[in-house]
Amino acid sequence: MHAINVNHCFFQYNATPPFSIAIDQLTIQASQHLFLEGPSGCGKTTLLNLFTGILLPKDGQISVLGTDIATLTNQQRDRFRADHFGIIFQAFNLIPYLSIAENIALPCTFSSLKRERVLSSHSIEAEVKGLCQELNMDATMLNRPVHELSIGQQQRVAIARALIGQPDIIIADEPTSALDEANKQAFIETLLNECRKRRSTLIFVSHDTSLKHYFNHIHTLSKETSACHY
Amino acid sequence: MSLLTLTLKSMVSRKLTSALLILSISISTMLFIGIQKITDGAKKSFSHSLSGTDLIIGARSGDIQLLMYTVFRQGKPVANMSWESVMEIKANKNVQWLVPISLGDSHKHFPVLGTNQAYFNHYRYGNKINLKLAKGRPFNTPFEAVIGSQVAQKLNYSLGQNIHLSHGMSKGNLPVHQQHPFQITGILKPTGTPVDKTIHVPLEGITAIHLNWNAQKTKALNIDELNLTPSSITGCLVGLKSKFSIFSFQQTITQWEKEPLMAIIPGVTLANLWRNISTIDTAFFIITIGVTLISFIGLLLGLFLSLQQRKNELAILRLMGAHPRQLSIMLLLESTIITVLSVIFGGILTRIIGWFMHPILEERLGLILNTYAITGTDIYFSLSMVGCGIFIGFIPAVLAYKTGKKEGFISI
Ligand SMILES: Nc1ncnc2c1ncn2[C@@H]1O[C@H](COP(=O)(O)OP(=O)(O)OP(=O)(O)O)[C@@H](O)[C@H]1O
Ligand SMILES: [Mg+2]
Repeated sequence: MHAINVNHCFFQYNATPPFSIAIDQLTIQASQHLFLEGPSGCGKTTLLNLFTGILLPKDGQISVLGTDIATLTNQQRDRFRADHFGIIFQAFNLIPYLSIAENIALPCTFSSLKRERVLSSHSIEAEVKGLCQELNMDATMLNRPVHELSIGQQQRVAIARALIGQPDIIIADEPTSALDEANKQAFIETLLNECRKRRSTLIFVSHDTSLKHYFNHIHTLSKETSACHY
Repeated sequence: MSLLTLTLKSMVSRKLTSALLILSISISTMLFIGIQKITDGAKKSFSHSLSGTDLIIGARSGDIQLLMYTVFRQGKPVANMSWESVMEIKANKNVQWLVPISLGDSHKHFPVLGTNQAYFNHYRYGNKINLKLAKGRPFNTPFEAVIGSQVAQKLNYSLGQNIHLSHGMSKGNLPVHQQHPFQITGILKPTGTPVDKTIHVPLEGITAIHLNWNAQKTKALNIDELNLTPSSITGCLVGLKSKFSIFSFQQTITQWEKEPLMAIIPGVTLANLWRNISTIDTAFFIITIGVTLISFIGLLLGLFLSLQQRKNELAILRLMGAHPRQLSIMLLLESTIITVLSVIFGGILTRIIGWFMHPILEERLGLILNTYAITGTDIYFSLSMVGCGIFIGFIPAVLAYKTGKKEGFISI
């Protein structure tokens, strides 16, 4: 089963200068861990936005878990993203006024699928606790405000939030750029470990080639596939 | 977590802004309710206090002044009218009844009103209701008193008790007419009019304590042997046989030859007074509208600010799967919570301030206020306040919806 299948896809921003990205063929198998690399500005984030249905291709087709996302309505796409993706951003992506536990549980507020998946085995609180344990986070940390955490700790919270509710695909866009070397290694190992355990698909974007060796599958976006027409 | 908790937590994280918004809207709520209560109270107590009286007659002064002191015990009479005139008016063929009124003394800050039996028969208030006794009987002899319900309640007086009157109405230590106590023979039922705060005694009693007799003489002389007919009184309430003679009789009084007198038609003077109050009331109302407008503009500004500050956070929520509609619901919830809290807080504030202002307003203006009861107008007003808040909230909510929908608002 394909997690994501890209077919003759073309996308262009409505901006000057227009940046465009063209991908002839890209298939990401379910449970595959993919390292997506490329120089800054080559369109990695843009591609992730296309995968998650935040952007729609101007031409061609992107199907996620067998669904052509262009056929969905806006609302269905929002729901689809909430249900099937777990997303880790670069940084600063926790809601500051919520506690750690509330931040982790947040996706269950907007995705009923995630919520039901959690509730089918136990309470949301129990799931949050379990995730924290797996990610080596102190249970006492759960009720603390976000700003009391280090960046490394915040990124672990972000992993927990991406994992809750067993999404099919985990997407991480340069999640390690704010971390130091030791934290970086710990972060990637934890993330891979969790995804392996859950058999989730992982798409990991980075321009840090030192992380490349953790992955079996690597896709490189180059200037040929994307282009900036001045 | 529900959108409501999310909104509440977000608001708590911006406590200062939220609190200031709530404060400003609750102050306008308080102004609105307060002013409305005061004008309402004024209107009610003025129109409620006297009915069935065709003319009020007194020495010539301002018409509102005459009304204020004869009915509301506010202010001081400039001059008295002579008893001869009173008797002459009473004898006039147009006059059906006449209630003499003599003011000027007090008892523990409660006004004392000298009158006669006619008062209990003809004084009417509200929807032409006669005074009723809760306990006891009207006065018969000069040194008996009938007290209003509030006098009885506040001073904890009961039938048979003796009281001493003081000379004058002002505050402080007044010279007490120690000569002769008055015995309470009756307590009136509550009326919601100045009658409740009045001590009624016979005119003869008033005359007696003002005769400059000393304690020794009191013992020596028998009251019955003295002539206790007053030489003058403050004014009188008059009922005419026919309503058609009101204007002509008023004319007669105005042209009274023996002394300068005036007669006022209570309803007309009330309307006059009401017009005076209304001007002030309108001014206050305009100010209040201004304040409310400003506080709602503040709310709008606050919501825009909140939208601006929370762009990043709203984008995260969108990425988590929140629909743009849910973002606007959060903003609407915010404005609703702020206005609901403001209205509640404003209501409490009105009560607290009312609690302090109540006695002052009652004493200074003679208003019978009801700041404690929640009236239909209050509920109506509160709802429209909340309605305004929700309406205002729609502006940033629509904006949030549009922003949330815009391509490029969210990106991984
Ligand atoms: N919303 C947008 N509108 C117009 N152009 C955009 C928009 N977002 C990105 N771009 C352009 O698209 C190009 C690719 O951007 P993108 O963020 O996908 O690069 P990236 O590979 O993720 O880079 P980095 O490694 O620095 O994150 C850039 O030239 C950028 O200027
Ligand atoms: Mg990027």
